[in-house]
Amino acid sequence: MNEYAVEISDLSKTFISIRRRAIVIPVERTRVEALKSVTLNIPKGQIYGLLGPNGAGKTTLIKCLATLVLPTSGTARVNGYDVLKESTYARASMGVCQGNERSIYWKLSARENMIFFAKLYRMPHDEARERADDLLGRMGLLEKANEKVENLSHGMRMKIVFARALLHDPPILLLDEPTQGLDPTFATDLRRFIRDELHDRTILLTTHYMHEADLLCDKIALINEGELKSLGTPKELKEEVRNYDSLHMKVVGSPDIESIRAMDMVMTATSTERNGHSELVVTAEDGYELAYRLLNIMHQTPGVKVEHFEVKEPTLDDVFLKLTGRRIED
Amino acid sequence: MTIPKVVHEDSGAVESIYLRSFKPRLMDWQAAQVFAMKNLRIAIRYPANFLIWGILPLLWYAPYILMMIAIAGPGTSQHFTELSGFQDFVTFSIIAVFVYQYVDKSIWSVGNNFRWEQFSGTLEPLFVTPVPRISILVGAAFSDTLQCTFSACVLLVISSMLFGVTYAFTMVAPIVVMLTMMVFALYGFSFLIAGLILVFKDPSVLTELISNITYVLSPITYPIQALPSAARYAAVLVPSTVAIITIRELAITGLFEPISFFQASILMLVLIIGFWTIGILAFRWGENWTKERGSMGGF
Repeated sequence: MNEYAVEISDLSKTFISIRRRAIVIPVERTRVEALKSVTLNIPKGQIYGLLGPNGAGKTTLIKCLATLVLPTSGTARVNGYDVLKESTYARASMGVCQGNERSIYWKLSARENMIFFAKLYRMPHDEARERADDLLGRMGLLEKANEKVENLSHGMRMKIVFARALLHDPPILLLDEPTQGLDPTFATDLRRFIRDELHDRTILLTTHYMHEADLLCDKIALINEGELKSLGTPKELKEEVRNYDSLHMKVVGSPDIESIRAMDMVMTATSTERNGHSELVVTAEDGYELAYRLLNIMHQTPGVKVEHFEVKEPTLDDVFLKLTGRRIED
Repeated sequence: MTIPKVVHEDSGAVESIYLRSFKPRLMDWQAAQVFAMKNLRIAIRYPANFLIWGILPLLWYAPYILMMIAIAGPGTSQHFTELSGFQDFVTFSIIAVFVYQYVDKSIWSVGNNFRWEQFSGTLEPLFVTPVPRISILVGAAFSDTLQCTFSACVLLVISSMLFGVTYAFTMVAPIVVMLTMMVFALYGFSFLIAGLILVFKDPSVLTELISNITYVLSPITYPIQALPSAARYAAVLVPSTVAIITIRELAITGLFEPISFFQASILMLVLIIGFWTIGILAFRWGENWTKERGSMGGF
């Protein structure tokens, strides 16, 4: 018996868009490599996180596995089934939750939505209803079961979208940003559900919330510009920057990021500007020494004033920064 | 309630009973029925749909009847009788308008449904279920045919009362058979349009063109003899032409001629096979095209 629930081998996807003149004459061909030879094997019963910024290729990878996008090259197997050649079996083996509240019927009630999708998995009506009520109950939505989806809150809709993925009790779950845009209470509820109730499933979870990946995942794959940069447990990944401190500094004005990067002790440095403020994240072996030297430079720079600074333990974002030179939330 | 699970002893992996008994199907009639019921349930939750079903068809064809009356006087003209073989052109056209309700709806039904699912954001979730695509296509078509039956019957009843026309209701059985065959043939056409809609998203020019050509070639408000000779040959390839001519004969004359009905049925069967083959191939091509470009859920 194969030990992997999901096997991805050298998977690539290139999107080609053609700009045409007069509808038919191609004038420009743009190639976007959304996935570049991705190889990833997920053992049964493990939760793997796919962490990366927007546009990193997370959703494309999920869609290739969900048989919604055809890969350009490489292979992918879900529950042992090739997603191209045995796509029906692959689809029957997985539940897919895309973080989109519009992916259920707003004119139907929560229960009607669940029963409809359950019947597409060939459940008889009574069983479909029982299963729908069970899942809605576990999501804390049983009281709202007869309410039309259009009258429910965003968080409740997302819970229905999530519960739908579990209707046929699939051994494999593909969760694409399941908590995106949820308020903290709903997001915490969903994370608790994933951690406590789905521990016997194989889950591939995409997220750009580092703490979510840190909390839920057995292993995390960092992805950027279609390439897997690193794979390991959250602890292993943080080990990669164990010897570094991360200095977070909030300043008024725009400090010269290039001169900071040029400092001999600086490993990485990024700056994000918002409303006249800059948020600097700089890594170095000794965060306190770095803070001392940086504060001196800032004091001497006209128009720049330090409002707040803090030396932090390394996070997954720091790992990502070290590997890619950019932050996950960029 | 929790669905019972099977645990593999060798790997410890969990597998649902559903997965163990799962077998892919070429056609899943339960899924088609569930999809059609879902569409009907949503349709009746938009109250304005009742206006569309009940009144709009009447408003749509009334100008043609009025125009005919204005040109030829009430009832008929000698030229019309010579050309068509029927005495009364109001009776002649109302039954054809009734049939054309199905034509129009069948051509657009699946494509419009898929477009609606795409806009709603529900197309991708449907496509990740292991349901055969053909079941979703047929389900979408069924729901629109049922809605159409309601509106076509309202049209027939109101028109009969307004214009005092009567038809041979003893011919209901062969009419239903012919109508069903026509609708099935047009479903194939509709699959083709659904494939085009997946690719082009809003191929309004193309589908408007197809719809209008079908409308012109179908002898609704005029006999087929009124068409130019080249167009008459093309008209035979449109399922609605055969159906309208056969149903009109049955409904107006009340005479059932087994040989001509059999010939019409054979022709319709050929059209069903042809249209379904082209429709399913076109839809598969459209689905693959969108999967290659990753634009399944896009607008």
